[in-house]
Amino acid sequence: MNPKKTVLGILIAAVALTGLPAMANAATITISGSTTVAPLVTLLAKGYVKSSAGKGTKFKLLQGGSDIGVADVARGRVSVGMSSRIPKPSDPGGLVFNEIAKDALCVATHTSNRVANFTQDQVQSIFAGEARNWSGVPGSKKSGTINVVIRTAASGTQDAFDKIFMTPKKTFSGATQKASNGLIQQQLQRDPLAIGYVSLAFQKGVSVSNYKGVPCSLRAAKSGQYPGTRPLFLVTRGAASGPVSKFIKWIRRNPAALRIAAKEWVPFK
Amino acid sequence: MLAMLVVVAPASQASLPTDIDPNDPVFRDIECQGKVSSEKDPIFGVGYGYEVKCDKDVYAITIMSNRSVGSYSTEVIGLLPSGDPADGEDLFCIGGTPSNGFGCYASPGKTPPVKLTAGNTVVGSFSLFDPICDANSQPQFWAVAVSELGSYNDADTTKPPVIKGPWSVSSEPFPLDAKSVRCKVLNPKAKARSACAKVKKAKGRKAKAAAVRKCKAAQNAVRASR
Repeated sequence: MNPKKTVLGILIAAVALTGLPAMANAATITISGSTTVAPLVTLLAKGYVKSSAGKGTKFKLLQGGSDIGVADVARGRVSVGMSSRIPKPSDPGGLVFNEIAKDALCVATHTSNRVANFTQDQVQSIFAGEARNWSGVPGSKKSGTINVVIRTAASGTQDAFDKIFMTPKKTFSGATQKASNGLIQQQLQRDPLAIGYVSLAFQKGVSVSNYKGVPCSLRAAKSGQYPGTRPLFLVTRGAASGPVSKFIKWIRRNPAALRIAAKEWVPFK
Repeated sequence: MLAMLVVVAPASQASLPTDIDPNDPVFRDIECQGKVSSEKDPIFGVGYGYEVKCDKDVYAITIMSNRSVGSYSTEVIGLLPSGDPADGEDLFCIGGTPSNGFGCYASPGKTPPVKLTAGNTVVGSFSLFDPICDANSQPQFWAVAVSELGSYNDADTTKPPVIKGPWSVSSEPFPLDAKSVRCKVLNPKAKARSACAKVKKAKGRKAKAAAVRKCKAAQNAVRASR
């Protein structure tokens, strides 16, 4: 037998064997759901993989809206669902909503139609379709029909808006429905007569109004003054375990993760 | 062998069924172009922006790189040639982290299908897993688009050509202009380590001073690459 070949064979076998534990440890966490939570999760995933806790972990990110994330995790299609709404009675049983941060919902208009402040009555009146013309809205210099833009029903953001801003009223059926924060932002950027609501991270190019006299800003949301905040969740089937549990613990406790979340969201406390 | 040919040549018009318009964009192959530039993003910190424009309607687009992508904007929008947002042209991006890219789709299942209209520009951003110059080759980026392509089968010359499609097809990878993010020094950390290691080994005052100069220059290059 050629001794060189034998040595090479042993080396290859050794490399293959030492590689095995690493492969066995490599976990892939699949995530789907809320378009609001998704930008935060991509940043947290990057930070986690770079940390010693998450080394070797891989993430696969899908979207679709909070209801899709909740349904996906309940059916076992993904390891984690993203949700920007609290649990609904209609959700499948056995799900655990793990809060990871908070987000603020901002009422926003076109930049040519800056409205300094909205009271809750004004918001409810506009989004319920009772006030239909900008000429009747204090602070607006526009006149013309108000184009109300809201999110689609599968959205956790819509659910949160209904609960925080609209209760006991309902958003009116004539409102334009959009599937994502980005689409509402886009509509508000191009339509001078539009009004909608977006997450803090989607304020670019739109005019954000104060709500109940408090600015919709990261600072006001972190201090707890802003009344339009809502929790963001990673949803698991049963209590989180294995790599998912490790990831959620890292998000909630690790200073690096809290710094990432603090960029545009209110970190978990 | 079955020949599936894209209608491009005017000479083939004579044999085409009358309902085929060879100038229909669906029979034309797609061309895309775009660029990647560095940008300061409130979320990504040091991030990179990309812009891609194609000459046909696009249903999905994939951004690939020879660098590892750390995170990416999960919703990107289409802009009209005027720079204003295009109505309803919003793409959702999905993919792995870390990976060598991500894909953005425009809900083709909807009626009418959501798509990026030909000539509009999709604009988004991403961040890399490692500093962009921590590699031995210049950063490269590509865009692959999914569009529709029609074809016809004229293999059997005894029969009129048969129209096929339009099919959903993915394009070739189009390189994105990355001149503005080219690295002056590749792998600056490794180069700095190597240059600074020579300081200890240098013999004589002149040699030592030269080695220190080179070490400092290499360390500056590391700082500049961040």
